[in-house]
Amino acid sequence: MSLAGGRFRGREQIGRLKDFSILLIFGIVIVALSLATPRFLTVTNLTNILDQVALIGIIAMGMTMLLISRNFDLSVGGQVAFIGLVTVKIANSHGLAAGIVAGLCTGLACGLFNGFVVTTLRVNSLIATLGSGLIFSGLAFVLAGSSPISPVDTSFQEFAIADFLGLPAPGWVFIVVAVITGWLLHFTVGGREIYAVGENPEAARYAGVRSTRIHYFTFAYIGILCAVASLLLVGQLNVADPSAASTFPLDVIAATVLGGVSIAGGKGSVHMAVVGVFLIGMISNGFNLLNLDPNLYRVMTGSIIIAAVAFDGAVRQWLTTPGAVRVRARDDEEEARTTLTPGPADGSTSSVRTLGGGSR
Amino acid sequence: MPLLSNLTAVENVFLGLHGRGFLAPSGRRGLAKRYEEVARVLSGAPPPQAVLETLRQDEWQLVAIIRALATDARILVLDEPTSSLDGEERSSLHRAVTELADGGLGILYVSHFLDDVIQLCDVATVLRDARVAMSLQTEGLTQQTLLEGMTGEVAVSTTSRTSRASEPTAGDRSPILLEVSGAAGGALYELDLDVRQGDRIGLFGPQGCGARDLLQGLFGLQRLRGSIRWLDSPLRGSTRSRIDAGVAYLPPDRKFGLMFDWPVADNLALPSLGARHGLAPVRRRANRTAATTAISRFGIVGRPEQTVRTLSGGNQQKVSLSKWMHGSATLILADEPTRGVDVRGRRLIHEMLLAFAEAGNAFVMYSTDPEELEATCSRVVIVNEGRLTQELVDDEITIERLEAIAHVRHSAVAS
Repeated sequence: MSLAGGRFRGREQIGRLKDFSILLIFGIVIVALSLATPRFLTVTNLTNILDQVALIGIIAMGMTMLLISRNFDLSVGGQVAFIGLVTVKIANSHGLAAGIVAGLCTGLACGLFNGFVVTTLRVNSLIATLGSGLIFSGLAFVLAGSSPISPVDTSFQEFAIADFLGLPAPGWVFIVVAVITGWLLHFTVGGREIYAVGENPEAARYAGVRSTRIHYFTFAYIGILCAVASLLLVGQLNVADPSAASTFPLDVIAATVLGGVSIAGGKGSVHMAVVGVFLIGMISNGFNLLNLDPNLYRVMTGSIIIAAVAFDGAVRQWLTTPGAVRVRARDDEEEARTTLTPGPADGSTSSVRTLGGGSR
Repeated sequence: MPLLSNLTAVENVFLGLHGRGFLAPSGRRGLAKRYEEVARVLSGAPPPQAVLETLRQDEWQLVAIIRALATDARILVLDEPTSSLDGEERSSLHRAVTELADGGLGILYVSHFLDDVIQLCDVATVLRDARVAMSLQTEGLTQQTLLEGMTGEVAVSTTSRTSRASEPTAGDRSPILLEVSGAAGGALYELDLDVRQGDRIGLFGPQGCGARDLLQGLFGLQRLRGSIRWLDSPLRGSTRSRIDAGVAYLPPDRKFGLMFDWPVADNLALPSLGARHGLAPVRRRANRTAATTAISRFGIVGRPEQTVRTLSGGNQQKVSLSKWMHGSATLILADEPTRGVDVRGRRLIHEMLLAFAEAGNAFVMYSTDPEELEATCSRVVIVNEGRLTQELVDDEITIERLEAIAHVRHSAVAS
């Protein structure tokens, strides 16, 4: 229908505009910080940022996949803590290799458990992972007993602080994970299925996409990424602390959402999620460099997230409501101005009523 | 329909219109009385305390109308009010609309059912490409004139029997594709059906007669008991395995068949996703080429990279249908394939289905519209309360006959 053609044709551009607005904020933050302090735009500081965002970034890649498939994972903090303790306990008793394998397997198991609860038990992923997160972190505290456990083997720490070709090892891991995730989501058939399931679960089912498999995969993937992040965290802290990763879920979701990944599913991309991760890292870094109150950093991040998502919502709203037609109702007493829109009739006492059609 | 199925008719009518505080008493009795007053002008209005989910579709429409009337409306805009109604429900709604108009209410009636417009309205206005194409008194107006206004072409007609090439070619000799016996599940009680190559089978019955359950069951969307054999082996398993076997399903609501924010090309490639390995590369260029072919083959007005949301309803439905036709499907289960599609789109979809069957495939179509079945089917199975009650073949399929069947059934239910 060419009725709204002019506007519809702009849709693709709007999608890009949204990405553009995040890139714009990103650019502004870079410029502002470079002007504010000469210490920002230095190689040391930038590699520092990469090191700082690596763990959140690794998990954010899995979260991107989950959000695109219209799921959610609040249990990543619990997973990281639980996996860390399993790894260190096994490593201390059976050796490093056994510990790492046990850690990765625990991550996979946690993910499959979430997948099971969401698909087979049909529990909404928000509730499912809220519950499983409590289970995992509870188990972590049980394993820890009275105090955090340090790894006997020093390899964890050596790897976590090592540099390769000038970049920190966690940074390299993040880069590799981002590339793999980008390949999976954007260049494989499975990636298209993830988008399909998130965009329109019913239509995906009707087209023969096996969504159960997709949900298991995405939860298992983030589980394994949690294991990777957990191994690095143990190295950075040189201890497996059950409460170390408690802010992870919200940090990860914040970074992902800031990168324009929609929690309504079907929309988002890996490269923009990476931008979101770095944006959060830079803001935090800026607060450090400028010696600002670190508590204000949280206020700042929170405000930016709300602004970004409000913008996203406004764009969506604008895209899905067809142009409102001004109708002037002729009335003897009053010149009532009413807006006529198809769809649900609102509760206003206008003198024109619309009954939504059967299909559209 | 913006009504809440878990509330009663009166609650729906006055929802948000009380003008009272959140904690104010609901004033049930007073509202019921006002409901009765407003509903008096309509015959067949449901009782105030009837819960919506227990009501028929046309009664929902009446509740929606009462809601509009309760706000002292002077003009009532009805946007495709009959698209989800069957024949008899439609005429009861029309009676109500006529009564309201006689009572002095202005009616703006939006519909793609030309007969309805001519019978019901005083003036018909045709919009084409966002402009008024014609606006005429309906007295003495013919469908033909309206069609010309809608399409901008002279002398078009709805798909008619003449466009069906060689008549009953699909004799008993062509090989059997699908053999259903004793199918049951959902509203379906027991049904036998054979589908041969070249068959154009229609299922006719009211909403909830079980025909939809049969189609969705055959596609693996819901459980179906009984023996279902596809090319001499049992048809079972997930939707995916049925697609791989060559069965396709066209849902009645386009929102179940399309990814609205995806380009046409990606929508057409949708069925192939689950068929390939998850790590296989996306074939963007191949999808695009395939889309270009499909677009020209099925006459879709659109470009491969255009998002489906920006297409007209008819073209959206064509995309939804062609994603199966340009694949390997040999049987299409079309569930009300032209609901909410305009005349021209409807004709093109019918042509697509006819050509599909002509090419040695088959379709089974569920429709509540006699005209649609008459135009496309070689065999029509009347389904009522989950059973096959009658079967019409070739020349027996006439609009009058189907309407008579629907009418008899309706009055039988009413009494």
